[in-house]
Amino acid sequence: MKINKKTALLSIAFFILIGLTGCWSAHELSELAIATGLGIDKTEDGYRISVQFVNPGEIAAKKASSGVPISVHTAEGRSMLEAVRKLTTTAPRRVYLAHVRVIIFGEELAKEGLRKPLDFLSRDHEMRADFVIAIAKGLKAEDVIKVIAPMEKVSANKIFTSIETSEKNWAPTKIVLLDELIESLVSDGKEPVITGVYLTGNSELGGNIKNIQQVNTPTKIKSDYLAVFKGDKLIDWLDESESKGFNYITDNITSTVGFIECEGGGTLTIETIRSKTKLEGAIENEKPKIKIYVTAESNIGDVECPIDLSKSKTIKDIEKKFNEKTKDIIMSSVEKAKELGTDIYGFGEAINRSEPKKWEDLKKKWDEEFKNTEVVVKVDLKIRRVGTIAESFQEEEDQ
Amino acid sequence: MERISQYQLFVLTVFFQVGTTIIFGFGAAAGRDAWIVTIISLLVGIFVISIYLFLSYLNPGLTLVEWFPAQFGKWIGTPIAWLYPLLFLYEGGRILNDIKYLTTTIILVDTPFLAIILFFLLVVAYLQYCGIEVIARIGEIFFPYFLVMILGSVVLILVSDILRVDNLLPVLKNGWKPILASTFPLGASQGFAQSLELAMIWLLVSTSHKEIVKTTLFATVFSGLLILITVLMIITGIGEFFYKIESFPMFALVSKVNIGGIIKNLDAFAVLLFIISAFFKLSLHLFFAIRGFQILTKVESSRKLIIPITIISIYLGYSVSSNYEEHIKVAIEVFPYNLWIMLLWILPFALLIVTLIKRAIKNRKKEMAQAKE
Repeated sequence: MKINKKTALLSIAFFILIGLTGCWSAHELSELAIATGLGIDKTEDGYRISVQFVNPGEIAAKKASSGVPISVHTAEGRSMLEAVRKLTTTAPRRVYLAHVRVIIFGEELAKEGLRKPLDFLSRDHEMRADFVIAIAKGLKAEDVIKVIAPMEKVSANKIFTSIETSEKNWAPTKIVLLDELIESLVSDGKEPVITGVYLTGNSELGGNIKNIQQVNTPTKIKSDYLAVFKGDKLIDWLDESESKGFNYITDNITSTVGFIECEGGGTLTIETIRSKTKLEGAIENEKPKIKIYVTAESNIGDVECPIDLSKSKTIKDIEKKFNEKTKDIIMSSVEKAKELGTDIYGFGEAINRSEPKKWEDLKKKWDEEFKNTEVVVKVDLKIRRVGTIAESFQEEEDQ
Repeated sequence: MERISQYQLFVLTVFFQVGTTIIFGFGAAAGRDAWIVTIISLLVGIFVISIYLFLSYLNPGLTLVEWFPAQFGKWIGTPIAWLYPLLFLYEGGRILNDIKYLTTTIILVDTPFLAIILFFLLVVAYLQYCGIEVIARIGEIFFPYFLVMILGSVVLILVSDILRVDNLLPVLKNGWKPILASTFPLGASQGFAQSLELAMIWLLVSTSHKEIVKTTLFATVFSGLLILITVLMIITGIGEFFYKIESFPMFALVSKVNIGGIIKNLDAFAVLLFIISAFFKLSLHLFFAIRGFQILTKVESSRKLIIPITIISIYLGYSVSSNYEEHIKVAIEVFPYNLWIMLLWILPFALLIVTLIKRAIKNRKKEMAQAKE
């Protein structure tokens, strides 16, 4: 086949033309409404979705803003996708879901079951898997989504970062991503938990720009407590200490703070900087048994009682006391879960790992067996540093 | 006559064997024991590839489609030989379907299938005009990048601390049965026994047969290890449940990478890996098909066949399956049993037996002739 110069040039031009058209399904940034948060509530025969959009002009760094940084649109539909598509009737642009940071479910919906709405979230290609899931404690998700927060102009971002930082530094919350949630939903030996968010103060003002014009914002979004599920239904909440116990058991502690009471009154606060938990399942005398080993490194962070830290015996005593205290926290969390009859720690999975054959019989009656499971906790916390002052000056003042 | 070097044979073999497995996972039916399936499949694969290599030693100077007429005779051998290029063509169509479902599910959602199939085939058809030497050279160029990308994703996955070794436990919960079931015929055929197709180009390698054997077996072990690493990463990274239900498990794993909130959403990375390996696998399937048809029809130039084969491929790309579920169901339940067992296992073994018997008879005759003298 002989190709002359003209045809060659023409065909090259043709191919370049095709190459330059770009993406088939291109959407320009100026045509998209970027969603940052989704709130999902129940209606009588479907869902009510509230979407938080950023107002691009308002969050630009250089401009002093006067308007609201976010806007919220809601729509109802029989299915999630239908509701999302119906948003277009009120939203100014096409809804773009890839940058969603947080998805909040209303407590009412969570009590009824999350399995159905979760399917859309994992099936839709536009959704990434890096958003955090939370439950609006005692509220509608819509109410939380609507609130404007200070510092972080986009409040969905605020919820994400505050759950993240408190998980890392304070420990009673937990970042639950979609895949983890689905995995614990389908697992026989583990039940899901999800962090709760709620509002404090005057919730009327939350959606008003006035909310961030005051030094002490009237409405605050708080993330705290863990929602305990049985299957896909919310049944109860763990309080702060129980949530911390939960995080100790599931090896989800990065850093946290705990206190012990001194002999002569006052408290001594210890900062845990590293923690590692090993969970071992076994079956002894036909009964399931769980062994929890916690090893951690801690610092003494705050001494508010007369105590002589220069003696190594004192440090040993503190370690012993703190070990007992941590053990209590863990045990109280386990007791609560046993009371509710839901295995949120993955004890069943631990038994499955070590005794796969026996687990097959056990899993049919696991809800009952879980209550009778013997749990042994061993905590080994070591105090490594006492801070910049070795001895406390509290002693002298008190005497 | 076109020639390729020993290293190029290695590269093409690895690309061919790794193929699309790198995205779709391996032995997913066995759940968290899929890595055991990979190891057994590799061992069975080495065995069966050795047999193919032995067959090529027994039939010097002949390609795969010529073995059958040479041993079974013209009347039985030729129809059997015709099955092979048809199989290659069909497998090429399957790769096109892999591409079409992955791209339209993950990146180019609104793009019609035809646009994807057409543009992919345009490049592949051009490569067919250039011949195997060019395909091999492109492979040579891409191979280091391919490895660096796999290595890069391994490093990123390790650094982002998403692998949980606990996900591998308990080992062998359901015993050996599901493992053996997914090893044969699917596991051992996918990639490994499929390498029978490479018998079309073993003749073109410019070294001795012994070197070809060495290179091919080394490449098999190499790609087996690559697959093993990805399977282990996927299972420990996303867990058994998601390994079973995810359409594209490797993709799910890579999108979990998150390093300090800066390096994340590496989806495009996985798509790139997939496109490169799918591209080579498709080019090779079509090359072998065209080559096979050319030898069987005794057409002088293979170029005459390129356009018809490409048009048939477009049709196959469209019609092999009408949705993803059907595509996967056929890949796992229908295709290996109906085609692979016959064409990759039974026929080559029959060929081996016939060849050995014929050889023995020939030797006996020779000995007798010598004894007479």
